[in-house]
Amino acid sequence: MAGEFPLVIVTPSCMAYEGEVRNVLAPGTDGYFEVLIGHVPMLTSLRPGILSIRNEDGRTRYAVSGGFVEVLRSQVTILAETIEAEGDIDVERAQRAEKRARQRLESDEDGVDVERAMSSLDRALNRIKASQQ
Amino acid sequence: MPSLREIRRRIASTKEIQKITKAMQTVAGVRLRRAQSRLFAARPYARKLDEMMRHLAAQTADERHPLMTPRDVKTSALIVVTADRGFCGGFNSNVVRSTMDIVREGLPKPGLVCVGRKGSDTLSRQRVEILSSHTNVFQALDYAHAGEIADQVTRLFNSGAIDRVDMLYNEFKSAGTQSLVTEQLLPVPPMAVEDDPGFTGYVYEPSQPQLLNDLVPQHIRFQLWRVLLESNTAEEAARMLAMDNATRNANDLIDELTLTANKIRQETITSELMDIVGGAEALK
Repeated sequence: MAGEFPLVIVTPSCMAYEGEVRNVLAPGTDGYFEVLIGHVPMLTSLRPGILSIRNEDGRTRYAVSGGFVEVLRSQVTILAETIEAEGDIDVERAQRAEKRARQRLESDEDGVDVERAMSSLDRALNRIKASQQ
Repeated sequence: MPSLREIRRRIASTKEIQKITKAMQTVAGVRLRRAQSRLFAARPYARKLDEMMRHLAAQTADERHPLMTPRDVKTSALIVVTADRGFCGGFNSNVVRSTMDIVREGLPKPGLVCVGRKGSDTLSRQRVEILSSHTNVFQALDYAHAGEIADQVTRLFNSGAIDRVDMLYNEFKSAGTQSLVTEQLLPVPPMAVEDDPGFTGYVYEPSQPQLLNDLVPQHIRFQLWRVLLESNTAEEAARMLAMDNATRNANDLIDELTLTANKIRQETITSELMDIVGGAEALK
């Protein structure tokens, strides 16, 4: 049986999670990684993706829009820009955001910030995906 | 001497105004509590982000990140944070006055970034350069908006268009006091590097410079977000106090007017009595 370790997820506007967990599966910039108890201290950044946590009550999935993970011997901290549990995702809003981003990418007008449109499309698709599975 | 009717009308209208100021005070009180809890909710993130920055800065001390490197200041920007709405005492006018002082003597070639409708309205009539205005930010304050403003000034800083960015805002001290503060946003002021004995160093993924590249802009976004929360909380506190004063002043005014009204009423009665008595005397 794997041991448990404390996990804290904070965002600029709230403390999203605080408690003991068995494992964390997170979308790192260089690919998904898993953290179990006794992981080596690590600092890494996240890209938009699906973060999943297993604790006593089972597995919970979150849509995360990017951030940072700090793994220390004593605890794991996730700084997320925004994070939503799968049940809390506003799918309609995400679909609207997806449409908007696509329109911006397809328009030929000057002054379209391609990078921003791409990342907002990324976030929208991620939310939709997280809500579906 | 005003007539009795006129004074009674004034009492009635003052009472109406008092009802409004009292309601505004209650609303500001509720909003203050909400704003305050948001401000407190941002603290754990602030602490953690700060800690990560310190750790990372300690390990990459020999190489400074461009956003953390001071350079000769030829042009600068000032982010001026006011409220979207009035009725909050000297809250907005203090910021505007202080802005004009700074523009006149403080910074070399400053451009303003106005956040909040009140400040941008007043300052746009002055002879100052305004880089951008962001109004109606506080109705639905969200992190993404703070991030946009922060990214905008970061781009200007990176392109070399401005060499330094400061923020001017009202800091929330307590429900009774706010104080006006100026804080440097860019370049990011150096952090005190402390030795954390329990800290052994990380594995970095991706590389350290790459992480710092992600972490520093996030830090800047968050600083601006914190300032907006701070100003928003101070605004509601100021409004509550201003409305409390207004309600109390209305009370004083009502007391005074009631006294005058009573005097006039008594005088009228007295003089009418005198007339009747005089008339009766004359009939004898």
